[in-house]
Amino acid sequence: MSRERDKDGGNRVTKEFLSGNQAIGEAVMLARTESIAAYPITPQTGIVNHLVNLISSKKFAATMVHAESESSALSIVVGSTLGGIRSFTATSSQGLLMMAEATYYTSGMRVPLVMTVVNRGLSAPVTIFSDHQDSMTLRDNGWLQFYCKNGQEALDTILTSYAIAEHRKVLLPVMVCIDGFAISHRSEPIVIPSQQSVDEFLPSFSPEFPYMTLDEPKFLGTAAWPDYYEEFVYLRNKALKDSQEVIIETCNKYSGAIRPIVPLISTYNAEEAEIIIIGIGSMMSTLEVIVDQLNDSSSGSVGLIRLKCFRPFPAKEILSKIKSKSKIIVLDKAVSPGQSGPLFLEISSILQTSGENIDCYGFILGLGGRELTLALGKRILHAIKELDPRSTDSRQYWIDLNHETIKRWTTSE
Amino acid sequence: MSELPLKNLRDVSERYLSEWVAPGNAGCPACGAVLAVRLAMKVLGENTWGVMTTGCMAVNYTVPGTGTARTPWIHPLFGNAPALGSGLAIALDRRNLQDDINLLIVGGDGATADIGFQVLSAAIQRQHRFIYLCYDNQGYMNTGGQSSGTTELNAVTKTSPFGSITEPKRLSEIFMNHQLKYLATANIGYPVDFMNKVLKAKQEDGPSYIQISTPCIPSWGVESAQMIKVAKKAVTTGYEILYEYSHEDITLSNPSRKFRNKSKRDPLIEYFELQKRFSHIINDDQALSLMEKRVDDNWERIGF
Ligand SMILES: Cc1ncc(C[n+]2csc(CCOP(=O)(O)OP(=O)(O)O)c2C)c(N)n1
Ligand code: SF4
Ligand SMILES: [Mg+2]
Repeated sequence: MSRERDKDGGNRVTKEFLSGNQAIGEAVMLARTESIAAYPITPQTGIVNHLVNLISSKKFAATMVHAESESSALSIVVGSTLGGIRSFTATSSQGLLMMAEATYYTSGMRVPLVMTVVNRGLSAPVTIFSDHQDSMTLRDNGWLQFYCKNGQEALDTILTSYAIAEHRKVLLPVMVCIDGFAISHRSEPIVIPSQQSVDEFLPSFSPEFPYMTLDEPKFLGTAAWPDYYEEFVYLRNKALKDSQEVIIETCNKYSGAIRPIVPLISTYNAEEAEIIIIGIGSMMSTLEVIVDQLNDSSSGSVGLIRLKCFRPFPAKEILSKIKSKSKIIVLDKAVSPGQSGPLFLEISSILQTSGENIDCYGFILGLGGRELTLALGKRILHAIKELDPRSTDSRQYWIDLNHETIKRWTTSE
Repeated sequence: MSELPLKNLRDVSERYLSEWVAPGNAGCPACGAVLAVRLAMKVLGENTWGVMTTGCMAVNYTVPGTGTARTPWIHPLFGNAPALGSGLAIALDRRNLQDDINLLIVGGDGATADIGFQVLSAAIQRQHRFIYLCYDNQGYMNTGGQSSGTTELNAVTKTSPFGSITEPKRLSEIFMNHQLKYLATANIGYPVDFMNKVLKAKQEDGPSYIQISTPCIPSWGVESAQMIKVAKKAVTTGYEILYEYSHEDITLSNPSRKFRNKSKRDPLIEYFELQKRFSHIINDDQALSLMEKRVDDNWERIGF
């Protein structure tokens, strides 16, 4: 690891060659997190390892619990947050689903903590490689969801996420997702802001939510019968929707004080393009290169919209970028079986209500770690020329299948 | 400051005037669990954070309109209370409050023996400072009285209509094989003994476990007015042994001392007769003699 000093916006910063997982560990330390609990699962383990290194080398004074399951890991940090200290956990795949019950509890109790999900496909068949099925499965659990494009954005997003989660208008947990391996294990030069600038940006934890205190004893987690329950769900939903303003405000503040950060969506060549590809995560960086090559050749002009924020869903921001485009391609690294990809569902629903008459195509790809290539990009652009946008196929087009494998494993013949 | 043990119920009423549980909870009249938590809170006092697993007690305390607790409590999920409690213990520790605030985790037998079993096991291993109070009514009462890991052999429950055919888990013995600072079994029929055990646990600087048997009125099929009588019979028949365990040492508690001598015990059938859940074995000599043998085995195995 090489440490290099340099100056950025007046702050002393360090540049280090770090994996995405290590970058997240650095961010958790910079946020002065006091309680960490986690359970090992590939590809999240690098975060835990890095935090253990930081703690055992006395750089970082957090209390860390190596829990006996993910359900407990999350429950422990819910407890420590409700006990009044800033807390963090991280998981992947099977671990996230094992936490499912507790994730709904966390948002229902309005517990402002931050969790990293290093995205990985779900068993069966078992895989350690990445897609978005794990966090997409939990998209309705009332958490904010960010998807990062690289390790740098992951570090910056952890820091802004604490500020957003703890904002009194929000008070919700935040899930910061990074693609397994492509981000978690890839090392890049990462700019680490100074502790001083982070301290100025992120004040120390002072919970403005009902927590455990002797001063005003409360029973937290009571029952709510039909005359109350719906209002609680409404309020959580409202807080999540309204968090968009806080996200923008917080990211602007971070951009001014520390480094530029994308709050909701980022675009690439979107102004000029006729065709827009919408997607999530690190594959959108890959696509930038592919789009450059495609645009150089004669495939027509293609632009990109990357959703950094999936919950709350930035509908207005997306719509404003796709108005007057002729076609939209939505890439999903997850599927809602019997329906389509989850992102496609969201995009087609906002198109429906906006009255925009744009053809929208949904592609399922990249499951279980399959790579996005230039050839695949070309195949997608070719496919939309032939696909009827009103057909079921166009809602969930499996563009990258190996038909030999399918033939071998088909049981219905 | 160490508090002296209580001698009798008069001591209780003189020393612990304050109630930390307000009247008006939603439990059945004479619910053993309600009384157990109320008495434990008398000993622990207002500087206590409580955690309560999903089950009858959480419902008793939190159904809208009851508002029973006068101290901070949290109701997590059915199976995660020791984990959430661990988080609270960490927060107390980091905020230097660990010596000023007691942490009480209350769990039903279902939460303790079944769905939250590994969770408690790990929380004890981590050696946080907390008191785990398992109120054992031998079943999932909140969902209507199904069998749990501690349901007694032959007991009729919603899921064992002809009587339970499996041996219950020996929960206290399982946790004896963990690294507890203090462990005790208690019975709601012996409130002074129970409260003294809570007092000991309160003075420990690590995890402690108290399991108290608390009859359930509807699911055991007992009259409200007989609750304490049923509870006591479990001890006076020798069916249940009250003891303490700390520093690798096991001690028989006062209420059980006399019943080490088999001839001093009430006939076991007197315990079963008071409960509808055992009515089918009252005239079954074979079943009864097996139950009697199990009582003797218990005394021998535990080593008194
Ligand atoms: C994950 C989960 N599964 C099932 C339930 C339903 N449930 C609520 S309370 C309970 C039984 C509780 O039994 P116990 O811990 O013995 O407490 P008691 O009701 O006897 O007081 C069950 C099965 C639940 N709340 N959560
Ligand atoms: S059902 Fe049983 S355990 Fe539940 S409140 Fe009534 S008596 Fe108590
Ligand atoms: Mg029970």
